[in-house]
Amino acid sequence: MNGEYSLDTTEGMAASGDPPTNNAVDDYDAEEALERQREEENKIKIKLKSFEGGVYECGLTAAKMSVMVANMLDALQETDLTKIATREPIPLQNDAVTNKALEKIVEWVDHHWDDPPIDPDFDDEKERRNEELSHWDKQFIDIADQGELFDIIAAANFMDIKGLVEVGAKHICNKIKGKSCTEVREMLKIHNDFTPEEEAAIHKENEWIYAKD
Amino acid sequence: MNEMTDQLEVIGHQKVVSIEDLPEVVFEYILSQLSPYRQLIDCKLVSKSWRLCVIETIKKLKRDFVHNLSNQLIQWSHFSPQSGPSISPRYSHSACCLGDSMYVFGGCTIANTTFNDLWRFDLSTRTWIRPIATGTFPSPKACASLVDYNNHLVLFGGWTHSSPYPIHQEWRIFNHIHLFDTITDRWSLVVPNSYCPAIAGHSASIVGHHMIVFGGLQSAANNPLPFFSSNDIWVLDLQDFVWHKQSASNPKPFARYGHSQVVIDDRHILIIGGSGGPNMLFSDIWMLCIPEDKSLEWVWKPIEVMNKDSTTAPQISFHPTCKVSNLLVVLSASQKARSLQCKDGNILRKPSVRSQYVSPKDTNDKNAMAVNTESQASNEVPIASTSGCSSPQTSGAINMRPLSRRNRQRQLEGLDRMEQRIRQLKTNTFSPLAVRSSTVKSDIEAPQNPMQLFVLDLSQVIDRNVVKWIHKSNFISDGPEEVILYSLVAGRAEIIMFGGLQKDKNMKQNQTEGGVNDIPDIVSNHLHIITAKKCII
Repeated sequence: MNGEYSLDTTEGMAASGDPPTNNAVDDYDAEEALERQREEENKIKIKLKSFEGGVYECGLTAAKMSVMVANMLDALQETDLTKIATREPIPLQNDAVTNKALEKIVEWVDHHWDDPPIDPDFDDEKERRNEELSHWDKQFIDIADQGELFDIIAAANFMDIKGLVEVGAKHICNKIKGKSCTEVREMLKIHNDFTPEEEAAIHKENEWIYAKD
Repeated sequence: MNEMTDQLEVIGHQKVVSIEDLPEVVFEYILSQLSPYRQLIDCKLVSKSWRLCVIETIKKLKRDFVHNLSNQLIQWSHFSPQSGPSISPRYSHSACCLGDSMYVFGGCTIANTTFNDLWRFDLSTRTWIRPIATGTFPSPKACASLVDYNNHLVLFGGWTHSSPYPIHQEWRIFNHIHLFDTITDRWSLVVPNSYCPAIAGHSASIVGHHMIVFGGLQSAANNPLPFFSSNDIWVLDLQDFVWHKQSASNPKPFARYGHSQVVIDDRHILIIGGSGGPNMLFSDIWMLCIPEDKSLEWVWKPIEVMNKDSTTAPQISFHPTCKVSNLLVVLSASQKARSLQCKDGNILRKPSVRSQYVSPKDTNDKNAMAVNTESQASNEVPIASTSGCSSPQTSGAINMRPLSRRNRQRQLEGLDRMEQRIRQLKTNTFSPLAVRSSTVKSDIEAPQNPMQLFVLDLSQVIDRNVVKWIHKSNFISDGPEEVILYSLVAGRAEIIMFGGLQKDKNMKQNQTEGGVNDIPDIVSNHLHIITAKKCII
């Protein structure tokens, strides 16, 4: 959480000449300022258009969680952000971005837009990785229709919303965990395209992997 | 799940997306989040495209692990013993990875008594299980070798200390071979069809149908004394259980024990470090070449370490190693203090002050010096006292018992204190905030000298007989506190470190005034796993 505000911090220090204890306070102020800015920006609503043509409104800060959307907005080089709101909806040209999927995605980013940003200096990725999904995310992603679920994951991947892809991946991973291949097949509606001979051969191959390596 | 099925049928007219239609990168990511053991392997059976993707994922996991090891992009996970029945603390145990399991046999307690229990750490569920084994159990022992062959574990050699009661028992070395059938959980004692000496502190590996044993402390099979360190190669044919002593060309590595041995391929084995006696630590590396033609003599080749400078090269004499692809992994505490020991010479000598055998009255003068020596060579001393390498010609072996009895009380107290410390450490390790603050020196709970990862590049060892330490740049602070005599084995895209003996540095300082050099040792039953730092998608 440091890098972005380093400028403010050093200025504050130079001006006051205070010992670095004030550093934290400045940092905190800068953080708060940025948060306020993000909050303001999120009041600006932009429009996203699904592959099926449905248009959905979404806060600007939230929409920028999609790296793809953020890049597109950057490309507009619009200085007056309020004008973005009046623009044509941003089209999302991928067949995974269905109405349903986009609706859910907007719901997700609207809930997560004020997540603390990822700090690259904080090298505790494992903390994040091992983290269980939050209660909200669990409910959000527990979608009965798996076509919709995969649409959301594929759409999130297309729109480059890493957090949401991760949520989806973890959800599926949790479902696979502890299941036999037959159960996995059943759960995910996958057709078994192996002949019995092929299956036997893989069993053998797997045994070898267990023993060796 | 039923709901899911129902709904699928209702909306049947819509395009049905399956998991296989997800972008490949996402699908692979999902698979890579599964445990790389049973779970992932079983996914091969789901369908053809799953099989291909699993194979790709396994390859990628391996590739990433090798890449991350050589770039120090690793993370430690620490497992303190689970509640309920779990493995007790130990060191000098034997460990071996087979499929989904890491097996641990025997080892030593703090009081130098030995175990004969066998534990299985299930790598996919991360739990300790004690198999309900039947058959002929091995005797309690430490410093034995444990290798896997054809779904069996082969346990060979090792030593046991005399138990305190009845007194005046002699310690002994074994030449027993026990097989553990990992499918039926059954031990059996193998009576080989030819002689081999009793060996402990040796190294062993499987090449084809042979177990190749090098070095160790040896004695005649039925007579524990005298014993001596050796540089013999003994080969056991695992099909007909015949031993033979394999001759090999000169020059040979010095006789040693406590070294490590890794198989490069069917024709080449590496021997790393070890000790030749109380005052001889080795940091050399030798390659044993096995000729295709069985009638030819085996050949030893000294291996040159290209960069032995102190910043990159760890102390390797007594650290177990393990091989991942063409990398050799060694863990060692930070090298500042040890750089002196890595000088060019292969034999490292330290002043032969054995304060352990000096009565408290005499030590006042020597104390400072003795303690210094100890701290420099803290690697060496516990081995000397536990694996009995203090040569029997001196009175070392006899003096050990009374001393350790006198110190028992203190050791137990030390253990108590340590237990508390470990408990604190545990809570500490799992709180992210505490981990972050571990760089602050005042935080006494954090490891003072966490184990660092050192990686030796073996890619040119066969062709050019050289190896090279890969430059180490970052200091990894989340490793475990320095221990010795732990086990280190390679799992699937991870490295597992277990147990070991730790010197408590705080107590060392506190007790220097106390006179005798009775630094309490702490024995661990913690498990530490190195994995690649995983990136988020």
